[in-house]
Amino acid sequence: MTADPVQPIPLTDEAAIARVLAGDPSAFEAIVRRWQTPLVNLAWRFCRDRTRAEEMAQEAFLRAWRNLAQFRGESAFSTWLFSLAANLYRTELRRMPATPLSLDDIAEPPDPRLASLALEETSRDEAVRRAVLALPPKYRDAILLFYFHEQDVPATARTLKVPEGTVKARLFRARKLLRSKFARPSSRNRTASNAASLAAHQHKEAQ
Amino acid sequence: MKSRRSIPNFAPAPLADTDIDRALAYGRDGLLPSSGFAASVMAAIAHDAAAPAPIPFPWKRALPGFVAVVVVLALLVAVLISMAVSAPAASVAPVQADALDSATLLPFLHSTQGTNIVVWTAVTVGALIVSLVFFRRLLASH
Repeated sequence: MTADPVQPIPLTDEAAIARVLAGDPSAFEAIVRRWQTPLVNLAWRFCRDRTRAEEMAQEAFLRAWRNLAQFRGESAFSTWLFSLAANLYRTELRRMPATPLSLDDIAEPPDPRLASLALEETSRDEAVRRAVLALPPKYRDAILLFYFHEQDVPATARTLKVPEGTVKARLFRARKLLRSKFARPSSRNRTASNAASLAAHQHKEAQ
Repeated sequence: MKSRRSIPNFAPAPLADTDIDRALAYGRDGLLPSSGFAASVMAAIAHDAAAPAPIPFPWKRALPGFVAVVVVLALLVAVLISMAVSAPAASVAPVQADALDSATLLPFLHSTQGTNIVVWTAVTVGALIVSLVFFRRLLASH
């Protein structure tokens, strides 16, 4: 019988921070490994580009590393890190927007006749995500962070550094904007799509 | 005989909150970092840690320059204000076409106060040039 290999216990955030501040940069790896998925995920939500998301997340980690001494421990480390990352991502998006489309330019789901419901859902989901990126920044940030924080308003408010009421108001407005976009009747895309659907249906009936 | 069947409605349904929840849910809209991401971040951090600390701004050396600039600007403002105050007084007197000599056009040059203004303007311009030269040398030394 062999003993289980001893797995090193990963450092807690606080212990890693203490070691980094004491002059051991390698201790920062524990922080990177723990938070890389959320930070890349958050960046992805802001830009929807894998390469750019990883670049932005790397920059966020670098900034956290440089400003680690400013973390006072008044809030959770994750709150501080997400706030720093969200600020950076917003600045990056101002510098180079993720999508040059306006809300009016967002395409409807391309083909409502999709045979598979799952595919139709996927297509609609993607249209919703693109529409979110085309929202005005304050609504976009609120809704992106709200879903990133798994619909936790207080966490969203802490990351954005605004009151919870402001987050709720922005979420309400963001949803309203999204609904109004998708509720627009007979847009050019939809008319063309419906005409094609009707033609295909009539052809099938004739056969 | 053809059966009359209703035409299906292909128009997309209006967006509900559940559609937004589904599209943006954390588990559904995610991206995992690539395998080398953490190593890449740590390499960048190691590079950053190895870089020499940024050179602090030489406040002690720059302070005289800043003081000189402030003094020059203050003098410039004082001169401009005194010129603005003296100019309307000169323009009160009616000007005849045949009397357009330098005393009429630039009356402050022909008064003691006007001479003072010229001197102070020269001092100001001189101080400005000196401070510019000082700053160029300071920048060149870094």
